Amino acid sequence: MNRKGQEEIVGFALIIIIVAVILLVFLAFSLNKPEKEDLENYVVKGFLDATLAYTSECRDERNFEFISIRKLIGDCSQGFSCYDGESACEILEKDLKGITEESWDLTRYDGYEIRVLKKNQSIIDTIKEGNITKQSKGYMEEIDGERVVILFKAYY
Amino acid sequence: MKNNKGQLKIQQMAFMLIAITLFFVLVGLFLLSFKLSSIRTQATLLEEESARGYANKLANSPEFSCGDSFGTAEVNCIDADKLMTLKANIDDFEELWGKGITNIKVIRVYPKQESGECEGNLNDCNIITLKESSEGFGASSIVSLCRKEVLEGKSYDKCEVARLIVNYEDWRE
Repeated sequence: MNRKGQEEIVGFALIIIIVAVILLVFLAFSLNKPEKEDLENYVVKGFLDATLAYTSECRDERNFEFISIRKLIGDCSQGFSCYDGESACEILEKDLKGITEESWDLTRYDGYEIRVLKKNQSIIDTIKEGNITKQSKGYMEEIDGERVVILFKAYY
Repeated sequence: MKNNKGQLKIQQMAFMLIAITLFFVLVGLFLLSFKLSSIRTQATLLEEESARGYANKLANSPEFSCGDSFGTAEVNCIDADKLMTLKANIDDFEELWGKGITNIKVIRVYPKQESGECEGNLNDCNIITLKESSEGFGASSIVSLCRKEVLEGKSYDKCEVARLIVNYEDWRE
C-alpha cells in the first residue's frame, strides 16, 4: 500500500514536470518568434506615387523636356522613342527595375512584382523579385485615362 | 500501523496539493506572459504608428512639401531646395518638430548616388540630415524628392525617389 502510494506520487510529479517543460518550451518559442514586417496600404501607394513622379532620362521628342515615369508609360504604350533615339519602353523597364530594387529591402519583405498593362497585355517584361507569398498588398494606377495601368504588388 | 497509514495519506495529499498549485502557477505565468507580450506588441505598434504619422505629417508640412510647384500635389513630395534651406537654418526651426521627434533624415534611393551627407550641392551626395539620433521608434516612407534644375538655360523639374526617415520618442515618459 505504502509503495503503491509512492509510485502514484512519482507518476503524478512526472506528469507535472513534463507538462511544465512543454509549456515552457511553447512559451519560449512563442516569445522568440521573429516579428514579420507589416505592410500598410499607404506605403504601397506612396511608393507607386513616388515612382510615377520620378523624372526619367528620356527627353520628349517634341519639346525636349525630361519626362516622368507616368508620361513614359504613355509614350511606351504608343511605341514612341526618346529624343536620343532610345526606346521609351527600354528606359521605362530600366528605371522601374532600379527604383523597386533600391526601395524594397527583401530582407524585410518577401518579394514584389510590377506590371505595366495595356488592355490587359504587358507592354514591358514583368519585374519580379523574391518570393510570391499568400500575404500581399497591391495598388493599381490608371495612366492618362487610357486603358494603360501600372500594377504593383508587395509580398510580406 | 494505523498512524503510519494516516501520515502517508496526509503526505500524499500534501504532494498532490503542491503539484496542483505548481501546475496552476505555471499555467497562470504562461497566460500572464502571453498577455504581457501582446500588450508590449500593441505598445510597439502604437509607437510605430505615431512615428509613421509624424513622417507623413512632416512630408506634407509647408516647410517640406512641394505644393503645386512640381505637378505633384497629390503625392508625398519633398522640395529638396526647401530642405537644404531648412538644413542651413536648422537652429531657427528647432521648435517646428515638437519634442517627440529625435531624427529626421531624407535618403535618396534612386538614382543611386555617391554615399554622403549633402552640403549645399545635391549632385554628389545622398543624405540630407536635419536632426540625428537613433533613439525612439523609427518609421520611413518612400517620397518624391523634387527640385528645379537648369539645362541649356531652361529650368525643368527633376523628381527623384527618396526615403524619409523619422524617429519618434514619447517625451512624456
